[in-house]
Amino acid sequence: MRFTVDHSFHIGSQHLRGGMPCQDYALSHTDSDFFAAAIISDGCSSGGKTDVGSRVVAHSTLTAIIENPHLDERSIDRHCHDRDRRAMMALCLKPEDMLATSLYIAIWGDRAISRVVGDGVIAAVHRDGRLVMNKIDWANNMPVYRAYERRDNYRDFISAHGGPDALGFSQHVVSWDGEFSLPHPVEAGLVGTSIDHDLQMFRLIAVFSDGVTQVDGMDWREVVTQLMSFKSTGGAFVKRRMLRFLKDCQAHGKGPIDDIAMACIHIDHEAE
Amino acid sequence: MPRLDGTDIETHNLGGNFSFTGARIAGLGATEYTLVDIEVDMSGSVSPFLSDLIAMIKASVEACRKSPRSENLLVRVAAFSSSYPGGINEVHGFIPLASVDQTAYDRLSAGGGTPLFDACYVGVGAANAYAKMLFDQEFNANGISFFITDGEDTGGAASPAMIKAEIARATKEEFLESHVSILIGINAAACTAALGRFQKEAGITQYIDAGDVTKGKLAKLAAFVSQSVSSTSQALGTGGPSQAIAATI
Repeated sequence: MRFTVDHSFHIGSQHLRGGMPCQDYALSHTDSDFFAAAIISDGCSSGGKTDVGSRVVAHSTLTAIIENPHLDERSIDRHCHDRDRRAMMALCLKPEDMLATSLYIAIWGDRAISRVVGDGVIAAVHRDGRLVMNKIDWANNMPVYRAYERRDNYRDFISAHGGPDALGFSQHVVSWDGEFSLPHPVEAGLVGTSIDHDLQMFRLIAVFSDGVTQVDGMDWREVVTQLMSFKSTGGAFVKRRMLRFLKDCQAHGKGPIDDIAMACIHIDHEAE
Repeated sequence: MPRLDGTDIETHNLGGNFSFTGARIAGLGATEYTLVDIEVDMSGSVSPFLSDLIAMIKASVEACRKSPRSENLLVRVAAFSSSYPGGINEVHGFIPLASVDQTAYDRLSAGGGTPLFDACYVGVGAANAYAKMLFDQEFNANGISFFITDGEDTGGAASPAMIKAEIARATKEEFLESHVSILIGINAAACTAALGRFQKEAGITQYIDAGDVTKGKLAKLAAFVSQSVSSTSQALGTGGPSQAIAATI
């Protein structure tokens, strides 16, 4: 088995027109046959310098994954917080600068997990080509950020959503045989939503920012389907797909209104 | 970086007896490439300055390595002479600069007539065909072709009309974002009018008479080639051709 990884992020028309920076970021890393990670982070538009925060969050997350070969989510979280804090001190960042989501896929040996802290989409292509998508949404476009734990242990966030039992976030699953939505209480999503993947089943697993839900004239399912339709999986394969997608978008709309990011791991089951 | 040990090179037919090679596309890593094609006259009349001509090719390729876009160049170099089977000797197909073995140019020898039309046809056709393969795999590409000759065509299978059709196809089908073709005459004072006529008939972007061959002129020609390549590559993604290329050397 061999892994290839790549990532891409692009500014949305709203930020471009407003002279704002791209607040999405993506990162990927592999050692080819044992470890692979793909990460995206989406900075909050109404936060501080979240273009910097999203980069810090993505890099902290990657480092934390590398430091945790057993992929223990809580241990990864602790390491992420530790790295975030150190980066904040070193760069004099404020808590509001760190309001950024963290979505990742990680593979260590034969274990693969994906995790969403915030909102966005996880998508995977089975070895037979079937696509499954899992979208995490938070009510009122108020996703959880791990920075909230450091700030007040989520107190204000829970309150803003109407309490720990309020159905503040939902999971929308789309697969080849239908789709369904599951509402969840706020409390269940505070530290993130994880999925364990059977590595033998998939050839592509990707994470996306919620920018895929805001592409002019396109449904998010179609956006994800198109972005997962790689023509090749070598080198900058995600960047090539994203660039062609953006070009094609211009034919029928304005393209992404919000910033958009994706990171993907390709699993080559035939490679020795 | 691809290993160009034969397994990473593929041969493609262009129809007729023409073919070209290129790096296996699955092994390419960037998002976009400029295809650089250099066709060099190796007819008998270049014998007096063969070593300078080879030095010019080497200097052109070497200068491309210094371009900020060097990682995004795929370079093909072919020699043309009626002494080669089919009139064309492809030294190497479209490959990354890092994989170019400069010693291969030393093996070129001069002799025979000048199948200039065939060289131009294959050069543009190879760029078109390879660009389509890149496009299908979601790479962006543009191209620049140089045809360096010291004389008129002395016979072959292709005609100026065929070249014109191939050049028109280069951008019409949009596999190449832009394509520039440059016919360069060296020691070609006696046939400047004929080469100028051929440039117009074939729809080649530009004809440049580089004058008599001297070491200085060939050095300038090498600089011109690399600057044109760099300029073309920097224009990739803008949707248009490069800035105007100087008409004199």
